[in-house]
Amino acid sequence: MNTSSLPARFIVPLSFVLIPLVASWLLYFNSWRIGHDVLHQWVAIISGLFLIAGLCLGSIVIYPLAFFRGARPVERVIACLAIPLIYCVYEICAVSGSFPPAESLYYGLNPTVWMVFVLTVGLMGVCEWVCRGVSRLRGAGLRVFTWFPLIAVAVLLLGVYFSLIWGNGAPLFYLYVDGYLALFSGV
Amino acid sequence: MQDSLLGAPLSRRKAIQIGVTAGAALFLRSGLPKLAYGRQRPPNILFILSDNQRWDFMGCAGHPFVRTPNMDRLASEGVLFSNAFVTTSLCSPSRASFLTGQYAHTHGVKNNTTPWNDGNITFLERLKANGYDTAFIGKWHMPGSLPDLRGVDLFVTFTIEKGQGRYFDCPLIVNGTERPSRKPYLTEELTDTALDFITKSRERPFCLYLSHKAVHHPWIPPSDLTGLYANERPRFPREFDPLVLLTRGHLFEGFNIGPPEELYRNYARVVTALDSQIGRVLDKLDELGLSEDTIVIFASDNGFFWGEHQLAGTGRWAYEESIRIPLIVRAPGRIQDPGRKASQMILNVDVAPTILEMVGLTPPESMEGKSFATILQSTNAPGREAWLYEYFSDFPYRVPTLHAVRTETHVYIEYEGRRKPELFDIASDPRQMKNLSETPEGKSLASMLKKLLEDLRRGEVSGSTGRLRGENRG
Repeated sequence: MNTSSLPARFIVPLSFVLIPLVASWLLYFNSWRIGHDVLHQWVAIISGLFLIAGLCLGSIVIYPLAFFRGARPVERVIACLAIPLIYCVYEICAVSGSFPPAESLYYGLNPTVWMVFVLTVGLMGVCEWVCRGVSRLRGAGLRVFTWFPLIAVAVLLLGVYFSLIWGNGAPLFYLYVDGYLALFSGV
Repeated sequence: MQDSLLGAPLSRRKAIQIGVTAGAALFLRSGLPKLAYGRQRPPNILFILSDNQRWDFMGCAGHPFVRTPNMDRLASEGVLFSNAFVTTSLCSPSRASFLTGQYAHTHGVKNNTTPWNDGNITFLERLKANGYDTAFIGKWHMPGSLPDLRGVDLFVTFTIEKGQGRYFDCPLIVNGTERPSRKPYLTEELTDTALDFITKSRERPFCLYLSHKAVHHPWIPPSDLTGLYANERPRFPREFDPLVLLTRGHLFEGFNIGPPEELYRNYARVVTALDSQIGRVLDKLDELGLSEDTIVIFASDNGFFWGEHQLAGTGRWAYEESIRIPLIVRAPGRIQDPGRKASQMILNVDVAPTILEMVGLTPPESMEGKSFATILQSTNAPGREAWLYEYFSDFPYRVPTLHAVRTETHVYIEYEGRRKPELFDIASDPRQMKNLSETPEGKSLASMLKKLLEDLRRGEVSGSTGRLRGENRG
């Protein structure tokens, strides 16, 4: 497999998701300005779905692009994690007007942000298997199933269980609030 | 032998019996208020609180399809306040305000993470001290451990899920001891417990504070109502889109993944389930012959957004959908022109002093609310002209600390942090879509309201009456 330049193997795959993500963000959060109700609804729904898909499923696009452009594992991981990291920073900035700096930083650890990270990690694992399988079909001498992707998928399954299934996510949220109380209010 | 006092000879034994009974009754009642509205015995008080119920989710408030025959009955037999508000639109602070008649900055429960102060005095405690049998049944939901609630004979609540409880099989704490729910559905279980309290034989009047989990999320209706409203189509505001429930941190509001229309219908179903349980209580009062002697007050702790301002969930903000609550008072023989709507502005902090006044007690100075008993007695009684709204940030919900002044026609809102002030003309822009604070006509009004807000926060305008001074009229 050929190794492309750093922009081609890292920046381009990341931009494939990041640019539509920013565009959909701008569209979604400004769609209410559209005077026409039906048009507003459609723009909001489509841009909103792109926004959520880009956040949660972006690694499905980034990881294979980076993989087949010869990005090293650490580059692939960083490119994929850049999306949830940017989301996390954005969320912290968004609440910094409401909470003091330390509490705003803690906000960045909230279950929604964690879920985006967990999804990204898990999908990276799945993509690694798929990319290895495709490479093997193309004649590369790669083992398809390796340990790290398995761990990543396990993280995803655990994350889905604790975030969505266990008490519909409420207990995890309460743990998060308990952490806040322990750190910031002494309750 | 006749066993009647009239027309029958009275034996010495009977005379002693009567004397002892009368003496005991006098002793028991010695602590009771002497006269309330010209009656010899103070009325019973039944206060019913729902959770997160919008002011317009009642048939009598004009909702297009939700069915609430019992709330409607209360309104038709009492007074529906069409301008009832909370001073903080958040569960714990609002609940503490109902109980104490005080603002959040005074009772100290500023948000859902600041604990209840055991030094707070509830209206239940004041009634108990004046000879009432008292019960608190239902959702307490204030941070910290459960208090040893003074002045309450029966304290039935729940602590599961941070005090939010759950709709099915919710374990209860009865005077400090946990017991399983007897009925699967919490609203019915709490109602059963309330009926047990009401039907108990007693010499004294009672005060029952019945506080429901309904209609807080996750809006699970009882099995017999799951198909209700299936053909009804909710009308969301034009700024709403289906993804509003998933963005802007609204996931923390507990919205489940699913079509917003179905979530909305479930909310409506839980309102109807609550209504039918309220009906059971009203029927029991009728059956026991207590309706004429019982003041019933129904309210909610705060409003709720269904997409207005692209917001979803519990109120918090100072917009109308958030700060308005349903509030109905039925007080047979104690109100003028039952079945009317009253448009005077009243607040959750007014409920406690109103109850005290209606049972013949003088509300203490420490209560910041003002009794609206005069509005019940007279259709033309004046209401307040302006009042202070306050919200203290509640982690992790991304609403900054804010203070607002609400007049009969405008609301002016100031935020901590980067968000700029807002001014809305509610009379001409009831949905609060046009912020006037930066417009030429809004600037002068905003500066007057800013001054009024500062005065209210300093306590220089009476928080209880909201009477404005001089040029500060908004």
